[in-house]
Amino acid sequence: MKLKGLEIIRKSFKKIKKYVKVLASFFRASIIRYNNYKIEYIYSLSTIIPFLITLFFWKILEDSIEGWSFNDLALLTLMGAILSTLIELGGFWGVMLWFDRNDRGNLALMITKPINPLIYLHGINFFPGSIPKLIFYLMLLITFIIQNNISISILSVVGVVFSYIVFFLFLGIIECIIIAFDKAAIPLFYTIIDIFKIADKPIDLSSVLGVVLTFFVPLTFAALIPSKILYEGRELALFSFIMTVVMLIMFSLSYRFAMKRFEAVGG
Amino acid sequence: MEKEELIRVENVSKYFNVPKGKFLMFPLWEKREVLKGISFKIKEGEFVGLLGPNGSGKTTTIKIMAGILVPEKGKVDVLGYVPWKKEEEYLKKIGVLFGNRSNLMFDVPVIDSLLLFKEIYELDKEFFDKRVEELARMLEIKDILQTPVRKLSFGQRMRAEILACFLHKPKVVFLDEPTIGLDVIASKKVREFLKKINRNEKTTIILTTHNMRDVERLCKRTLLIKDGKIIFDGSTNKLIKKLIKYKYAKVEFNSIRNKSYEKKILESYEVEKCNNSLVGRIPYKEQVKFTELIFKAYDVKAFSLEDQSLEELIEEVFE
Amino acid sequence: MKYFESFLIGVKETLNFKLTLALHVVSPLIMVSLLSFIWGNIYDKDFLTYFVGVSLLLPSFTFYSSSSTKFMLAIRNGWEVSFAKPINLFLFISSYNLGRHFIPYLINLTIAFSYLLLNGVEINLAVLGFSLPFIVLFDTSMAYFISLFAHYFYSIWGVRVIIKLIDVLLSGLAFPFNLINLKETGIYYLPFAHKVYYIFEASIKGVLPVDSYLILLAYSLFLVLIALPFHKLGWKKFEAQGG
Repeated sequence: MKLKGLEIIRKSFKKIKKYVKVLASFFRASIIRYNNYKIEYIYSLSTIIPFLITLFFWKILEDSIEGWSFNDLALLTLMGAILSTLIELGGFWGVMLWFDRNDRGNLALMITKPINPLIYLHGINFFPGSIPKLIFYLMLLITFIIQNNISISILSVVGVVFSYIVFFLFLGIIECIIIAFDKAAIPLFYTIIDIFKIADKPIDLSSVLGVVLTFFVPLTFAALIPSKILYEGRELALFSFIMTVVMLIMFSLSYRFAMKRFEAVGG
Repeated sequence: MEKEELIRVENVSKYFNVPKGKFLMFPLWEKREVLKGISFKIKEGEFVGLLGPNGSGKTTTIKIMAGILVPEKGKVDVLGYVPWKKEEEYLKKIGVLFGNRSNLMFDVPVIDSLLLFKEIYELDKEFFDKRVEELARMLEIKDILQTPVRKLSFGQRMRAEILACFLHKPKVVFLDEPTIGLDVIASKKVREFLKKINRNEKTTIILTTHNMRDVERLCKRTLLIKDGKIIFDGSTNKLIKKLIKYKYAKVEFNSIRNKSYEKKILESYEVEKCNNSLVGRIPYKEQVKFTELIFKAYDVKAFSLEDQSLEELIEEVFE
Repeated sequence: MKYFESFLIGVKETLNFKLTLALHVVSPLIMVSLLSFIWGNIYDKDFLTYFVGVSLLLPSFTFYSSSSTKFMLAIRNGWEVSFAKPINLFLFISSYNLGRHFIPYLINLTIAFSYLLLNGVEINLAVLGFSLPFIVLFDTSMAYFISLFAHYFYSIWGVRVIIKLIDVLLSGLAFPFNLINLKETGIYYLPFAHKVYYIFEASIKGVLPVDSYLILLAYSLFLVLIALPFHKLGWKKFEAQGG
């Protein structure tokens, strides 16, 4: 029994090691790929402009918004910006464009490789151009934390990470829906991205809207909950963890559904 | 010693939903059986050609064996695995290539895509280096490994795709139209490579193609699929013999020896005379009689009898 | 006439993909409800009229970003050269895209119009109708301008996204502009608010927004004038690289 347990752990480690190596390999390839298009890095940095415009609006409106200081609003916007940079880095945009431009046959080819096809899809769409921007936002976050004397614990960092994972899994579910229903479902992704624009707005978590955007379309996990975790920590961090487990189950169900549907009609 | 059966396909059926028409604004679907209970077995090291017109079910068959599609009925066993369970160990033992799809990353040099496959298939460095060297030499693409895929010609790209497909030394390889769009020379190189690798490594290869030369030169065994059913399963030579009806005759002569024999030839066979030559087709069973008549009728300078091409034979079957 | 044909193809295609059509209609509706709900929560005030007005009455919400993607693909894949037909590819794509957005827009317009009418907000359709060509002109010029990035950038979809984000922020689709002094903040001098917020305001008042038309025209001209040399330069680059 003990030996079997050890064997499972050994196999899991082997698998993790393989995936780390594969992801590193994808990342290396993406860097080589974008070496041909160095201007992309400048472009990516330019996406800071909408972030700055949003801050500008908050500055104008700060006095008229009750219960939220400019600092709260800025942190909210920053957490949203970090997540959207991670979305870009992880190739979500590229994957959508890939779905738009390729037919199912190309996905069929990925299914014949000994690796998860979703990881493969994201791997070939990694966008290293986002790294400078991510560094900029993270530095801004660190400056913000130091200036505002926010005490950071491991729990709050882990909480933020889990909160982001909830949103990534949510996007993963949408990808599964696209795999299952083909191109017809792509506008769903753009709808979600449109809705994402409200993620960095000061929503009251206990309001009806807050509840809907937490449990049904988990948008609050994109900016609101991560920014609150940094201030309040514990409970919300735990909540993010529980939601991660729930979303993981939902994602795995959608993935199975997508693959089953693909196998029935695919290619 | 009897060779091991690597692939067993038993009574496999597959349905697809196809649009039938419309009711108001909504499309109506009907179930179409694309595979109607096909069965076959393939042994280790065999090179099998899967032939059939568009929509006959040959790509569906390949996709089922590769684990991409799941059949509604029947059993499939490849290398002791059920393909659609997609066990990692199984996927590591097969190679899949679709002629009109790409395995390689468009913007990076070929070698970097291969390095990625090294990690995906968990190959060790020594094996990888040796394998790439060997395959690149066989496919004559050693000098393009550092070139980004987008800068390659179609023929070079296809050979790089084939290298990627065989990189992990798969036991079974499914090739769906690997020579599609290639010119004569490039197709020849691909064929030579496939022949060598099948012979040297005992790789079992299943190939679908529209290019009959591929089948004639590569596949000892052919499966003919028509409307989702296998209508022939046997050796390619046997298929040719079974289907062959005519021989193509070409005669060049210096002078006529006997006019009455000539008259007999022109009246009995589908041949045309033009100056000092004769071309036409004659029934397969009468080739000896025809040859005798030719030598009696003419002072022959050159004479040949050629088989119908497999392409022509298949065309007749599918018509 | 031939561009009208491509417009019709766009319309027919939208009708063929019902799920896409439904999402095109539902997506702005969800946005409008959410935004009004959020801003309503923040300010304890009704913002539905504002967001219905700016988001549903004016088509630019979806039009140019999809046009620019198709332009970009046309440039990236060299279609402009290979498209050996006696038509202008960019106009062809634009009219096709206009067709694709026509039905969802008509539906959204009806919804918006009915809602506003029920709430006692009268929209001057003549002003709205007269303004639409200016919006489409600006959007097309913008799409053409953005598409030229395809000569120089790889992740062209990113360029589209960023400009769309800026557009959404500066045209009044994310922050309610009736709370902000636009002249003081400088937003007035940019084209974005003039194709959405100001036209909505003018449609309520029933006065032609001549200033907005002039600003849109000037920016359209400016964008095309900048784009043209880059377009030529881009093609030289494309041809030099052998396509």
